[in-house]
Amino acid sequence: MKFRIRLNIKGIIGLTIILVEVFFACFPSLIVFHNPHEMNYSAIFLGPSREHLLGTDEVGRDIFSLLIFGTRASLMVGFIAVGISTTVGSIVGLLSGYYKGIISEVLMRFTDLFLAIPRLPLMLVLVALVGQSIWNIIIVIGLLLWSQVARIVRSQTLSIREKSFIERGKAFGYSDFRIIIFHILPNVLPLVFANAILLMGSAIYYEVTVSFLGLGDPTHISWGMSLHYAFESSAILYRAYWYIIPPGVAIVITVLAFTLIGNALDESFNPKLRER
Amino acid sequence: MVKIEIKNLKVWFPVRTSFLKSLYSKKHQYSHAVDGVSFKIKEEEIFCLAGESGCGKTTLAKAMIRLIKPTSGTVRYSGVDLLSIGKNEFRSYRRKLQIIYQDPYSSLNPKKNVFNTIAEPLKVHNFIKNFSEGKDIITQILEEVELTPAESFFGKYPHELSGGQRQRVSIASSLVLNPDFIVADEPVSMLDSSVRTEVLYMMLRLKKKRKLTYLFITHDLSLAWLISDRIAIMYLGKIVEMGPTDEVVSNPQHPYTKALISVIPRPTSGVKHKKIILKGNPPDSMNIPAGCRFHPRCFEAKDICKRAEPSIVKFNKNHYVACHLLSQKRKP
Ligand SMILES: Nc1ncnc2c1ncn2[C@@H]1O[C@H](COP(=O)(O)OP(=O)(O)OP(=O)(O)O)[C@@H](O)[C@H]1O
Ligand code: SF4
Ligand SMILES: [Mg+2]
Repeated sequence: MKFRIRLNIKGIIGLTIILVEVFFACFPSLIVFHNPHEMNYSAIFLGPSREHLLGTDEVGRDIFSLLIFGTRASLMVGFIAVGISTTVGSIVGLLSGYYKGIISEVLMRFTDLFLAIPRLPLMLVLVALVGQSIWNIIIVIGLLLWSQVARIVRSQTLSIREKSFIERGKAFGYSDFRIIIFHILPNVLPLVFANAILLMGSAIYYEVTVSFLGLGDPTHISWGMSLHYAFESSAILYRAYWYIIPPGVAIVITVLAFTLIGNALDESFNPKLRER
Repeated sequence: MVKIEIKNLKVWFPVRTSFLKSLYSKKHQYSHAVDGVSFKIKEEEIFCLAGESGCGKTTLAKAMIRLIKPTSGTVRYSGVDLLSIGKNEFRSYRRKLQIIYQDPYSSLNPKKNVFNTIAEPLKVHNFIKNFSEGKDIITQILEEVELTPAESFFGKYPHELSGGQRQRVSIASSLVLNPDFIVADEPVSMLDSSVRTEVLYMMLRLKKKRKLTYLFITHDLSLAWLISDRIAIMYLGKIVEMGPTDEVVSNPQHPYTKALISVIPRPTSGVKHKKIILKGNPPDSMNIPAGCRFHPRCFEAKDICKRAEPSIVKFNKNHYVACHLLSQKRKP
């Protein structure tokens, strides 16, 4: 198998941002010198200073530390939730695209149903039902994003299965399994990959929204939780902009970075887009 | 010796009607792609199947090697009824019946290099245990299809090859399992004219060397004339004329064949050939005309042609025709 990946300049910028964030997520203690959980009621709502680069929050925690440690939650949600949805979506898409008949029809209707459901309300309900832990949130997001992947994989599979190299596989006596795994999958993989990167942005965005609305995991540090606490503690009233702006900017930059990479990959795999 | 024999083979595709239509009409609509075809192909013969686009050539050929499930009829390969044996038993015949496709751009997996493309069928059929074991066989087969030095092609991907080279790789992968019956579905029609003859003559050499039997599909009658031993002319899912190629070309009996042959470009021999241009629409296998299916376009149609379908009859030794003109001529 061979994939040629060519990223344009935007893609490289996006990739750089994500690599830096991955570094933060892996080694946060190398960057910050405060424990993000450490509270100090005598130093609340402090503005930025040399001691606290981005000031402190309503219980005196160092906001810069919270920001850096929060990277971990966002990336973890992105990677794992997207891992789940891409796996489920690819399997459903491959099967419903390859086989004809009742199973394929059922899988397709199921996919359409999931595509049509408004995601956010369902997500909130599900998280509220299963409990506010970071793992539950990841699983709920993962299970709600697969339908998009399934649709893309299915439409690709439908067009690839008509190519004569697939029929020739049958003439060679290849099993359906071999044809799906070794002949169709490698041809849809680039697109799945590009789409997975784009989905990371959505997954992170959904985690932020769920947390911001108060259904996040209180034991985990995340940008969404930071925003949630900022609004709960009326940081705006105190004009504590150093508290509100950093997590917001971090979220925007991260989602944007994934979108940049995803679009660049899409372009590199899809020659039609490149011409434009 | 007969290599493959088909009897009354039919392939009907159900046509999707709209939901509304299916409410008031219980009747299924079918596209009669192949509508009752019988013939035998002898060992080491080149049998040509010719006819306009959409007349069912590809469908018929694929049904013969069980890539498409026929609606009815029988296919006997070396005496074995291929359609009645189970899937597992059929697997051992799989490698004997291969196909070469028309389009060299979609018949190779773009994500597999030449080596793996050819090694995969070998591995699946236990000719080799792992991919590296296939090196000698693959070198040899690439040399047979004139891709040399063979090793320099091992790592090449389809997009790095020209159309002719791809078609050679495709032929190599079809031949590597040592098949003896090959369906060649317009194998050179999409190649550049310079490469076309080269590939064609290579296929003829391979046929001699490997004692292959070809079912050669083409809509180019001059090509059929050049290479084939026998020819069958197909129209709307049926054979209208069949016989030794030389005889059919020099003495066509069916009006459709006459029309096809009248437009073959020939070297000027002084004799003026009148071109017969067919009127009407090309075939549509969903609405087959009653009576002789060719009658709306036939320039010799009689009254009976609208009512009765002519059956295929012997015109002379090995030469068969399905046309009322013939049976009328015969009558005293
Ligand atoms: N899978 C299918 N489902 C429905 N109809 C089909 C299918 N395959 C072929 N047909 C129809 O059957 C008829 C014969 O098609 P076929 O491809 O066998 O023709 P052909 O003689 O090979 O034409 P060409 O020279 O263009 O390759 C056509 O009318 C086609 O529309
Ligand atoms: S049977 Fe009649 S319509 Fe059909 S080919 Fe012969 S003359 Fe023409
Ligand atoms: Mg065809």
